[in-house]
Amino acid sequence: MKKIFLPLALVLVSILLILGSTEGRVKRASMLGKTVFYPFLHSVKLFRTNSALKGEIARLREQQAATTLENLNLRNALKESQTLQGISFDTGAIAFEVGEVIGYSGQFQQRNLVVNKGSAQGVKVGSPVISARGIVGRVVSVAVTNCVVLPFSNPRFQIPVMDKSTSVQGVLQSDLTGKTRMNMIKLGSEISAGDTIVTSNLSTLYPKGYPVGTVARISDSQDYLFISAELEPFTQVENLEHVFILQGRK
Amino acid sequence: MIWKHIWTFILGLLCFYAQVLLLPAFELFGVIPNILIAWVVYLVWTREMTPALIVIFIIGLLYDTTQPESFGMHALVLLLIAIILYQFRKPFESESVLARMLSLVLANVIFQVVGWLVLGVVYGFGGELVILSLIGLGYNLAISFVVFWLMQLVARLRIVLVE
Repeated sequence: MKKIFLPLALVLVSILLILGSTEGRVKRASMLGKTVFYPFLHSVKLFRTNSALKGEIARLREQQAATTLENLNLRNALKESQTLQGISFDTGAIAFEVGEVIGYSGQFQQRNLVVNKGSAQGVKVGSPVISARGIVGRVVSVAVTNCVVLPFSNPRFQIPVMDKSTSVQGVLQSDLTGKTRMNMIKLGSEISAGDTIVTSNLSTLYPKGYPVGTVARISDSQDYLFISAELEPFTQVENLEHVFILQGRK
Repeated sequence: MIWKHIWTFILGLLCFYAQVLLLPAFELFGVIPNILIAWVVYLVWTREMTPALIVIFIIGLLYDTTQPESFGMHALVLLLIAIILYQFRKPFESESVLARMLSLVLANVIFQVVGWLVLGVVYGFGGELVILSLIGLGYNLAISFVVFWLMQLVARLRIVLVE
């Protein structure tokens, strides 16, 4: 009899707890949950809240990463647009492609720029390249998605340039020390420090009048047959972020 | 002896936490497996009836407080399973593997039949409920076998200190 009593009592209590309306059951569960079972239910609640918060944190981190990336893209687009608007000289009616410098090839003063525009964007070998401040160089090789630009700071680059005010002609060249000069100026020519040098009308690469730099100092050439003018270029090749690749040559 | 009862309660609590916090992740076709069934079967085969029934009732009620709309149902079902199994196991030897397997099957059948009856009364006895109940029976049975033998394995583990 004793053995039957406990199971019977527990079953009866269980049945009594089930009986009644749903509201009644919820009330009874709530009462027990707030008293006898409080520590256990509270710990379950804490576990669940913790888990939900971890999920929320992970979701927010993902969202933050996506927003940061979007923000970065927008900033880059803004910078590109500002560079585009900041062209300080008239490029005429020549169309151009905006590119970003994504790397360098070569070393020191002989290095070339790698730009993220290629044949897919209509870039061709020999296309002149400028920045918002002046000339940069020319395209020497093209792949589908990028191209290599030979900058004027590379000794292999040379183009005819002239004094903007007096039209005195010369050849733009750079040496291995990184100095950019206007060489082959005829003795007695009217040129002085501070003059602005632009691309010459003799250039087959650039249209006439694109800014190159200013004359820093004048010196005689080693053979005393010509004058050489050391220039301060408008464009700092090593600091370039965006360049404009002109579509088609002069 | 008292430690054995305390350990029984702690094991019940562990099963309760696993049931509430972990098992929802193993939901299959809307069925969340119930490891409390395996725990009840384990108690039936390893503990005396009176303390086991009290612990089963308490843990059942505790689980019911997480599902207030059906408060008392799990306590009642788990109690019924335990009481029936205590009667069922009597003719068998205490180490009989077959009897343990049969009691696991019986426990799951009782649980599923009661669940089917309760859900049928509340939502109606449709074909969908039968299919769900069958899936639940199979899934619970599989989980019960794993959990039950895992409990047995853990119970037999001994810490041996070697000098």
